Amino acid sequence: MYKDLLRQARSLTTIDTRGKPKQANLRRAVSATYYAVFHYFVDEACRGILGTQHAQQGFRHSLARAFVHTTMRDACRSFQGGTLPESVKKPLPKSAAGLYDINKPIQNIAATFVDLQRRRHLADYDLSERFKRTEVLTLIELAEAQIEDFSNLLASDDRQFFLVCLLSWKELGNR
Amino acid sequence: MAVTAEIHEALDLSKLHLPASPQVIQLIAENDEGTDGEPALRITAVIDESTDLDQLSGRDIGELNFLIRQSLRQYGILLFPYIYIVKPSELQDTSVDEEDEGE
Repeated sequence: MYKDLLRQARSLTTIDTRGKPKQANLRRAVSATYYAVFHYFVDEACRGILGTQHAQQGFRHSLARAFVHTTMRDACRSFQGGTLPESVKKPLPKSAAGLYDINKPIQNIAATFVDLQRRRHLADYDLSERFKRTEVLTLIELAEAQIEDFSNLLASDDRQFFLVCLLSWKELGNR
Repeated sequence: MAVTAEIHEALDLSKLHLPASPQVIQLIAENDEGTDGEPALRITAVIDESTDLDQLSGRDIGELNFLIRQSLRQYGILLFPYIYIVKPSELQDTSVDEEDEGE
């Protein structure tokens, strides 16, 4: 699904070949880009929790309904900053410097999710916000590259922990 | 919170060592708010007008964003930066499309 959404976003951004792009097209492109990352995260998390077999698809689709946009954003806000609340990171493995290091692809895609969610909100509800073609194209390129970088991360506890936090941060992050 | 001297210093182009492409010619910092009204920063990265948008690299943009966020953190600025990349001509264009006028 996320690949189709990114393709749709790119198409909307370049569809107006003469003059300024229509705001309606740029706004829908921003929204499609946000939902590309949202659905990517949800699908990856559900695959990690339930499994990747076709027969498990119904379970994944059911669990996918439990993800909450604001909870995912709050988790991403913490991960993008390169650190986690003390209560969360206390039991986690530490580096030689005594830190729980969040790797760069996770920080990057987490920051992009926070950014995209805000812009999706502006795109859908705030007519005073003017979107520019360059701005929207860079968001699409950014989302695509960071999904690819995150996908290329080897399966690890860090990757899986981040994905599970997207579902459970409301309880975990506030302890 | 006002945009402080520390924020301007963190965004000093001569110290940031940003990727060569897209070429950033100016960084503008303004106060902003997140979706829930929490204080944030709006950073406008103005790129060279001649930049070919078809050649934009998502990884270069990601590195640009990462370096800006990292620099702000190093200066102790924990406000989330929403980073907008635009060309100078887009920055100046404040005209309203006909389509937005009551259609």
